[in-house]
Formats: sequence, structure tokens, C-alpha cells
Amino acid sequence: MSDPHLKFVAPCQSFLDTSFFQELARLKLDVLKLDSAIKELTSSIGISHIPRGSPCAHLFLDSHSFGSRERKEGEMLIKGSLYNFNTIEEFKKVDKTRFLRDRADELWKEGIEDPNDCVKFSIISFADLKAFKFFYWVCVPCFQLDSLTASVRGSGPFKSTSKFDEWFAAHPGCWSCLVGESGELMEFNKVNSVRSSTLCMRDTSTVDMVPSALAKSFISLLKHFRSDLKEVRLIFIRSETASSFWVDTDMSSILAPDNTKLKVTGWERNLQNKLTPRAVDLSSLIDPLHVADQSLDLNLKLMKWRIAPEINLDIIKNTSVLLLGSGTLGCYVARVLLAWGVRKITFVDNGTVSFSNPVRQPLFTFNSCGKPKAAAAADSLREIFPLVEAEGVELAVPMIGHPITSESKQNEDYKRLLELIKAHDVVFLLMDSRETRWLPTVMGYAEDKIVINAALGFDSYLVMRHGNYETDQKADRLGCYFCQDVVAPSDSLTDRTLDQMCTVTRPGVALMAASQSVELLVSLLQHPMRNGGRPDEKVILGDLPHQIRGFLSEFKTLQLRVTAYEHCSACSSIIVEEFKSRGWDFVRDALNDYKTVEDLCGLSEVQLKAEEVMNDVLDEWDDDGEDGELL
Amino acid sequence: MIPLGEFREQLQALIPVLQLWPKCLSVHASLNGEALIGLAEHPTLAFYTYEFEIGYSQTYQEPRLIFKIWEATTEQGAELQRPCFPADLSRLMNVQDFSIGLDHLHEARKDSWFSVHACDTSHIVGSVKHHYLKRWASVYLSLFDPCFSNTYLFVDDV
Repeated sequence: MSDPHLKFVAPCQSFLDTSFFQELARLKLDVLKLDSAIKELTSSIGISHIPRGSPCAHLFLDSHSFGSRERKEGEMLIKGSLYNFNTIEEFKKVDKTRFLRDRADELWKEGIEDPNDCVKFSIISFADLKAFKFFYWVCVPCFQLDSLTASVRGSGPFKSTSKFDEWFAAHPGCWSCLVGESGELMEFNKVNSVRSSTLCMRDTSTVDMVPSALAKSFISLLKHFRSDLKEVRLIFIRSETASSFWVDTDMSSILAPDNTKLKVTGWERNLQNKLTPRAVDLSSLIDPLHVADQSLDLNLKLMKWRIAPEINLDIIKNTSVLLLGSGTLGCYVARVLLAWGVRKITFVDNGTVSFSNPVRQPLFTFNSCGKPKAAAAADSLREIFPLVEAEGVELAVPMIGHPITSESKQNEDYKRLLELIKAHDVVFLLMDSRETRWLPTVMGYAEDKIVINAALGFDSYLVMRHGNYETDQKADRLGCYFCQDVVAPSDSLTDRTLDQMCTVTRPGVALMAASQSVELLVSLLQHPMRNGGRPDEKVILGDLPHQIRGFLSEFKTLQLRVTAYEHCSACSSIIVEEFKSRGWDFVRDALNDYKTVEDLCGLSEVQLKAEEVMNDVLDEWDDDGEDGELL
Repeated sequence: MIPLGEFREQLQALIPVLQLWPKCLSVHASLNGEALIGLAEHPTLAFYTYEFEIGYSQTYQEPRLIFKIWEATTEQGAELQRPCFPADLSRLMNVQDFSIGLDHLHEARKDSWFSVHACDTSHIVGSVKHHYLKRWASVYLSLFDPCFSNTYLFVDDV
């Protein structure tokens, strides 16, 4: 047996735009502060564009809801109130039942004067402005006289809606109307009620033959106006006219005298259909740093999704990089690392930004001149992407062949450099002299770090990765920057002219070398053995060369491979083990006299043998006679 | 490409189509009438909803789709909605070959939205102006719901 009682759907579903909360935050900060005064709101219920999947119309609130607004076609304006609490505890402690009843009592009194005023909404809220979280709960109170029972006698679709559509169009502020004895439509109020037993309402429900709960309020008001009324025809007009319908109800229940006790519903259910408050967390929208972080990640992930699904972006992001040299190479390398998502970059340099630097070194501007390079580069990188962990360290890398002038200072620099190398996963050697690269090369081997080397000529460049260190030197171990030398690096700067000291290059060379050095690193990181990947292997991004030499005059690059030299002044095991065991003492000896390194690694002997061979050749030439022809 | 005037006219005709989409929770025109703003639920994941806006790109002279993803959790007894920036958009959406960036700063709301880049739109949608926006929607809104184009089975004038 079907339930004879009239069923109802929630009158509307609220949608609060983020601009509503932004305006609330502004009001709270600038106007309300700790004031708990009730704030009047104006909103609209969209009655014409209700999607098929939604059971009722929508109540829209945005920043404009705090002021007055004009009604647009297809919507009903609705007034409301905001009750904002200063703490979450106050918000939680609100007696929700009492609150709803109080609002319903207010609407009942207003409805007696004008039934169209009984449709309003209220919002309780708490704005946590530190965390940018907003807690709220919307209610649209719908009341019914406690002693009133309305049972259904009959119902059916209502086709002749045109008269009602025209009337409502002409009375945009009216939710309801009465049908008089002659079929004329009139406003619903106490006076007109005596002449009508047909109540017509705009219906915000979309459920077939089930009206919205707003009907309870209008029915109760009609019964209050006409306590003698036994039967009422209710007509529910919807924007989709085909679903408009009528219901005949029995209202013969007798009201107690002066009975205005109300049953109330109205708290909005959440998306899970539960009666709980709602909240919105806008911290990620309002905090631009968070948005910048997500944006960079998304950019890289697009590459992963669309081009190279197997690429490991996390390993790049989590790699910490030390840049020794903050000049042209250092600046360009840092930019490309940033574009790849590297988040920890440390610059090391002992110079200051000179006036010629900014045009070639993209992390500096005119205003940077005079500032320490490493710090200025780090500051600039943070301006580009605030979430990068960029640090600048002013440090002079001790150079082999440059005798010690201040042992305590240089010892400090040595220790600091070693600490930095230990603390990072990758070291880029981007300095402007050969001898500066020696100590970091040895340290890089001792600490088993990935070392990427980039060096520039006028129109050529070298980019290479140092091979892995192994104590038992295998024949095919990849070499380092110094493996092709038969002399240890020494002082190349003293007693040189300016043009001999500075690296003069075509401006485009540094950019090419820097970008290739970073791309080489990224490719290496894709290999499961990282720097253990061999040059004849491939990874998801392609080749894993040992050395890349570029020649700008011919616009060409070559991939080369150099095996480790057993007598190398930097990566031979005897040098690395000596460094590991003696540390600063060994380094101090090398700084003071590069020949100690040559003696240790066997280069002195190689040079001696080379000299002997040369002498033999010259002796042979002498034996052939003075007129011997050199071919 | 579609001129702005034509876009405005066809925008209104798109509303009934979106209303028929089962996943659409709400749709309404913006205050200036030059965009549609909507909410749609995720086709399979109950705790995700999309907030989208169909506007016009003056640069490309094409429809412009921007969106936010909202995720629902519970905090302090309340149902909490927060914007979601997933590590892998393809896990949540039908990304296909769309180029998507988190790079649109909303003019009015001053917050960040995902945007679907409008290059290649003409190539995808075709050059016929009649029902341009409906055809555009049938492709681009499949980002949110791969079955979106089934909505057109219930649309009379396509």
C-alpha cells in the first residue's frame, strides 16, 4: 500500500564559489575582525538550468553574494544571512537544532506577513585565515505545523502551465500564487486565501512527482490562514513544464488553537548524503608558491605522459647538485637544472660580479655588479623559482701548483669544499682554469660522486663525465679530465696577460656546453647504475657518452671515449688512496709543488722515459749526418 | 576557429547539452555571459569533482577550457573539499593527447586553473562553423568523462 503522505526533496543544493570565501576572508580581516554580527547575503536559485543528474535546483554563492545583485532570467533571488564564528569550537558547539528552529520561527513570522518571505537561507561558518580553510553549513529552513498532516488523495501531470508561467514571469519575486474561484491567479496572502483552495508554487525539485520541501512552508501558512480548509489542490510549476504536476491533499487535521509549533528541516546534506558541515581548503590556491611548485612538476610530467613514460623524474628532482664556478657555465647549467626540476643547487665561487658579466651570465643583472657571485646567483635562482633550495658559498678552491699563502684559510677552504662535495650527489666542474679542477676531481673520486666536467675554448667545448672509481683499475675504466695529460696541472695564471688568463669564447659556446652537460647528467640518472652506465649502452633518453666535444666552427659534435690512464694525476688509485689516507697533508704538498703528484702517480717516470726516447731519436738523427732530410 | 559573436550564440545552445550529461552537477552562465561554468562529478571516483569553465581565447579564437579538480576528505567532522593537483593527471582524467598546463590565472578569481591548450583545435574540430561548439565539447569534455559524447544521443539538433 503506497504511503499516502506527501514526500519532499531538499529545496536546493548549495554551490559556494572560491570567490565567496576569498571575499569572506577579506571581510573578516578588514571589516568584521572579531565582530560576530550577522552578515546579510543575496543569492540566487537557478531554476531553469538544472542538470538531469541533479535532484533539485542550485543555490549559488560567490563574492557578489555579499552585496546586492540583480535577478537574471531563469533564477530566483533569495536572501540569506551569514553567521560567522571566531573559533572552530564555537562553530562546532552551535546547537544546530535550536539554530534551525530559531530561523524557522523568524521565517514563520515573516511568512505570515508575506508568504514569499518565508524562503531564505542561513549559513554558519568559521574562517581559519592562517590555514585558508573555511568551515560552513548551509540551511534552507522548511517548516511544517506540528499538528498538520497532509495526505495525498490524488496526483497527476499538469500540462496547462502557460498561464502560470506568464504570471510568475510577471511576478519574479513570487514563489507562490493562489488560483481564485474563477481561475484567476492572485498573490498568496492572508486576504486572498479566503477565496482559494488551490495553491500553486514554483518547484525547485526535479524528482518525478515529488515536490521540494519549500512546499511544506507554504502549505502550513495556507492552513494557518484557513484553518477550516479540508482539501487543497497543490500545483507545482517547473521550468521543464512536462514535469509540472498537481497533488490533491487532505488537510482536514485540526490545528490546536494558537498552535504554531513547527517541525523543521533544512540543514543541507553533504555529497555523501550525510548531515555534516562542509569545509573547503583553499591554501593551495591562495599560496602562489604551492601553485608554482605544482606547475613546474606538471610541465615535466607532461613530457613523461606524452613522450617518455618510463622516464624517472623523481630521481632528477631529488638529486642535489654542487656547481663549482658561478660564471657563464654555472649560470646556464643552473637554469637547465631548474627546468629539469632539480630542487637543491649550491653555487661555489670566490669572485664578485663584474660589469662585463651580466650580458653573458644570465643569473646576473646590472644591479648584481659588485656582489659575491655565488650568493648573487643563488638569490637570482630563487627569484626565478622560490621553492628551489639554492645556496651560494664564497670559497676559493685550492689549486695544485699554487703554493700556499695562508695555510689556515686554505685549509678551511679545503675542509669546506670536502663537506660540500660529501653533501651533494653530483658535482659540476665549471671553473675557468685547469688547475682549479684537480682537487675537486680527486675529492669526487674519493667520495664516489658523479662529476660532470665542462670546459670551453674559443669556438669549441668539452663536456664529459668522470668515470667511476675502482681501486683495482680495470683496463676499460672511463677516464677523467686529466687522463690524457702526461703532466700534472700547474699554475697557468701567474705571469699571464689578461687575454691569456681569461677564457675568450664565442657567446653561444657556453650555452651549448652547459645544456649538454645537464642533459648528460639527466641521461645518466636514468641508468640503474647511474655513472656505471657504459658509453655503448642506451637509456630511455638515448646515448650515454663519455665525452662530447663540440666544434662551433663546423656546427658539429663528436662523442669520444677515453679510458682511465694508470698514471693519471687525478684519478689513478695511488692518488685517490693517498688523498684518502693523508687528506690535507697530501693536498698541501700538491699545492706547493705539483711535482709531488707527478712523482707519486708515475708521471715523472713517464716523462723521463719519454725524454729518453726523444734523446734516442735525436741521437739517431745526428748519426745520419747533418744533411739528413727530415720528412 | 570561431569568431567571438558566433561563440557567444553557440554557448547558450550548449547549456541543454550539458544538462543532459549525467555527470553534470551544475551549469550556469558567467555574469558577463561569455563563459559557462560547471561542476561535474568524476565518472568513477566518488571523491573527485571537476569545476570547469568554457570560455573564449582571443589569442587562438577558439573555445578555451579551464578546470580545477576538487577532492573530498573529512576533517574535524566536516566534509572537506580541496583543490587537487595530482602527481599524475592521467590517473584521474582521460588525458589522451591533450596538452594541459597549470598555467591559467583566472581573470576574476585570481586563482590558478588547469588549462587545455587550444592549439590544434581547428584541426580536431573541423572548420565548419555550424555546431562548432557542440563538436568541440564532444571532444574536449571527454577529458572529464570518456562517455561524454553519448550525451549527444539525447540531443535533437546536432
